[in-house]
Amino acid sequence: MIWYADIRKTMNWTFFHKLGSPKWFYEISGKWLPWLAILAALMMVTGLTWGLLFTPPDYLQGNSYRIIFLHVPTAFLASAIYVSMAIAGAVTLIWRIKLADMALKSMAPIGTSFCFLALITGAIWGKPTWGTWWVWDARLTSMLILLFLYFGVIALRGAIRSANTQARACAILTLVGVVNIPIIKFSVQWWNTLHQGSTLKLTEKPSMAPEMLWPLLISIAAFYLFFTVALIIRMRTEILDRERRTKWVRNAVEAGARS
Amino acid sequence: MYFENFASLVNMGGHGVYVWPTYGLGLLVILYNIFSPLMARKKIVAQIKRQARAASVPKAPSSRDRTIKSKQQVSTAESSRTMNEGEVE
Amino acid sequence: MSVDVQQLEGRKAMMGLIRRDLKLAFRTPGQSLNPVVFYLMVASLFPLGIAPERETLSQLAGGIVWIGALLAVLLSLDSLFKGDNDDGSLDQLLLSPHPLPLLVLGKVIAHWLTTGVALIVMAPVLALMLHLPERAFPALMASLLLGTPLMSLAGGIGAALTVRVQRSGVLITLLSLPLYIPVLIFGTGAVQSAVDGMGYAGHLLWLGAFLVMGLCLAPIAIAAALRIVVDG
Repeated sequence: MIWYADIRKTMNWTFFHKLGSPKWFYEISGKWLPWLAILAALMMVTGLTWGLLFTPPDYLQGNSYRIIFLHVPTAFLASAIYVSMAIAGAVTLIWRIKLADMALKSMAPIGTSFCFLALITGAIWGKPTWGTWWVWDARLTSMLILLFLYFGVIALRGAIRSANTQARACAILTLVGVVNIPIIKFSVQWWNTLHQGSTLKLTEKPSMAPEMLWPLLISIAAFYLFFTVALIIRMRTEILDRERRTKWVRNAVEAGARS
Repeated sequence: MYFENFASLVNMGGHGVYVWPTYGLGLLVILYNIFSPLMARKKIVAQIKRQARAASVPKAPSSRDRTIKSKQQVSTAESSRTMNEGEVE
Repeated sequence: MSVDVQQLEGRKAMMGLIRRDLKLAFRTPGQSLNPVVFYLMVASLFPLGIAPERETLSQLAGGIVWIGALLAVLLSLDSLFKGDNDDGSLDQLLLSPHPLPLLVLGKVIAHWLTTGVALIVMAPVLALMLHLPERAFPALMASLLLGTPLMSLAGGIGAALTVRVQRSGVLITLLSLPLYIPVLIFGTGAVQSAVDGMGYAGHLLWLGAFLVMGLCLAPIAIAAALRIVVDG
């Protein structure tokens, strides 16, 4: 048992410590950022122009289905980002790693904007499809409640003064929210089947033809990359802000730090 | 391309009025997510530079200054990684 | 044997806390009546704002009674921990040797006894005013009986996180509402089901399941939130 404890002591903790070091993250992300940004831009342009211009119109929905290339990636990411925030929150509470809290703080505005976009694209898509600007179907309603959860985290962060308390309070709120999300999804789904009108099946995606599937997948990957790029830029700024008293930050800023 | 001319591209069989504003909104959200972090970064970097310049303005050295500076240098390195002061495990 | 003694002490402490909170609430009856009066007023707003016709109202009555109760509980959440925070007893609570989740559960129970129960008692009056069909009354009472403690529990999390924040009224609402939505859905679902003459046991069972989950998990979350926010 001794060798096991020794390995844990030397290997895991150094690895963990390195991962948790803001300086290490700043330097590594600085090297990767330009490539990630270029890749994200390329994929975004490819996916969206392909979907917008080079796919055939849907035989049921005509050309309005092209909104899917914006709606699906942002909806998927809005949920995924909240779950990532919950993971960052758990890391903050258990291991007290500041970088995790910086990640949580930086993810929130990105996730909120994606959730907001998903809602609006969903709503606008509804107009030509069923003739109304908003419909209380299960997915859109769940996404609306997710938006409330995002607002809650941002509002709580703004209301608390001390950075340490902010970090842990937002972590708890995000964890409570993530436990609540399956319950909400289930309840809203159930509520919706009660009141469902006859024709509303927005969320039942028919199996997609391959010419439409590929640009969709590329768009999803592009938005994922874009989220990563935006997150890295925000986190780097947050690191500079919180670590401004350290020597390496002062040197980096002197050296004319660009993003 | 499935659209013969520019007019049909804009019109999109009547659905253009939904598709194009949606993509416009999408562009706005993407631009927000690019420019908001960049502007925040510019602000923080300028702030730090200003603080560094203010701190390095030569003052008549006094014994009080020396003790304050040395305390600052010691306290920052340790609390840099975790929130607890002192050793972690 | 020491474990038993500790458990007994913890439970005694919780009962003592409940008794103290009830005594305080009875000393300022005005403050405890506020949510009830608000409940009555909000329920009156709906006929004024929508329509006083019997048919329209009786369709909406279940939802109005439930939403009114939800809003009244939200209003009263502010007083869950703020009073103790202001006079310093919150710090004492955190210093006590008894398990904080147990004490917090006591506070939430006292809160429900002073707020939720009053709302449940008012509910039939409001349902009458809003022309809820009589066959739905038992469903209404049962769903509120299960739902109001759940709302006190879930709201306690928001109240704990914002106890040290100035002017946190709307923030508590923002934090608690997503947690209330499943409760609202199943509560009104039960009432609607009863109005339609169908069974509502399933809805009540779901509410019961949520309540059990809330009783187990919410005190832990509230205690953790209090430690974070008060100890800093």
